[in-house]
Amino acid sequence: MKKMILKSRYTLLGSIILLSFLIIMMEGIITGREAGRLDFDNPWISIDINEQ
Amino acid sequence: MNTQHHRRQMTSLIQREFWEHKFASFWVPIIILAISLLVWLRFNLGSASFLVDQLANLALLPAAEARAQATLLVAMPTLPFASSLLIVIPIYLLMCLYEDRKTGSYLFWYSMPVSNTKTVLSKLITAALLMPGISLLIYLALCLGIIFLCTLTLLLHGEPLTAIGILLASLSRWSVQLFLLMIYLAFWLLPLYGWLLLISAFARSVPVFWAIGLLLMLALAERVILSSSYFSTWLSSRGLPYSEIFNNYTNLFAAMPWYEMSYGLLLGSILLAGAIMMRRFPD
Repeated sequence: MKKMILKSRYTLLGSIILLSFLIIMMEGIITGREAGRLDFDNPWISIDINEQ
Repeated sequence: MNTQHHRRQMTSLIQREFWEHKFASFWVPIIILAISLLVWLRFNLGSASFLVDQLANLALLPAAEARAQATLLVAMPTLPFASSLLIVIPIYLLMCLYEDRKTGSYLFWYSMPVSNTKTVLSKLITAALLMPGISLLIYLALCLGIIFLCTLTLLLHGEPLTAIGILLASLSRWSVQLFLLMIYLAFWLLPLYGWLLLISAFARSVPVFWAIGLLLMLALAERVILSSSYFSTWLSSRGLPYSEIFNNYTNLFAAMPWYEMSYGLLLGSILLAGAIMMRRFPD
């Protein structure tokens, strides 16, 4: 496995991206981050783009 | 002895980064200081009586209002420094490891007893702490210089120095806030820093294209293939820091978004580890 990941710069980049992407996806599913909408809200700026 | 050796090595690496990127880390904030000072002089020296009136009015305001107005005055020069850092830091992170390979200087550092981990960490510390730290110090010098000029103007007009006390108190409070924000951002933006370093270590050409293109591709691929947008939602949620940190800096521990912070640290560490491992592949 380690050999395969460190085979070339492309396999390493692919593995790092895949791992990070999976973590973000899993965390999003578990915590129910607002999937399917872009809701960017904080006291400085507020953008909420949703399908009405 | 061993710890001292590691600390000395890290200090040398950070010093090297400073000397190699002296323009971005030192001269850019100095140029901003010079321009800001010139602009301030241009608008205030010509009409000294207007400045004296403004300062006298500040002293007459109720305490809370005077504090708010003084904070606004000392906060204004922060803007050009923060804007320059928004440009300088991503460019530095994206180019540092890439240029090491392009110029062949990594061969020299490979021949030295310096690990890839230390090399990458020194670049991270330079971007996350050294560059903002230098900008903060130069911003403070600018503010103190302006307050000194205000003091001179008031003395020449025989006015009391009450407003100067208010300005100095606001400046000290604002500086503490900026310092805490700098530390906070160093951790909050770790995923972004890690990503830029990873791409810098990976790209053979045009790293900026890779850094932006891959993120767009991932967001698009998720949208098309999985019909979800967890990735872009997470990206947008890391856009700006929580302003609670700004407002509740006296109770920082309670205001800190611990979950988001540790989650970001986990992702940032993975990307940084990737950047360190990527260094083993020369062009």
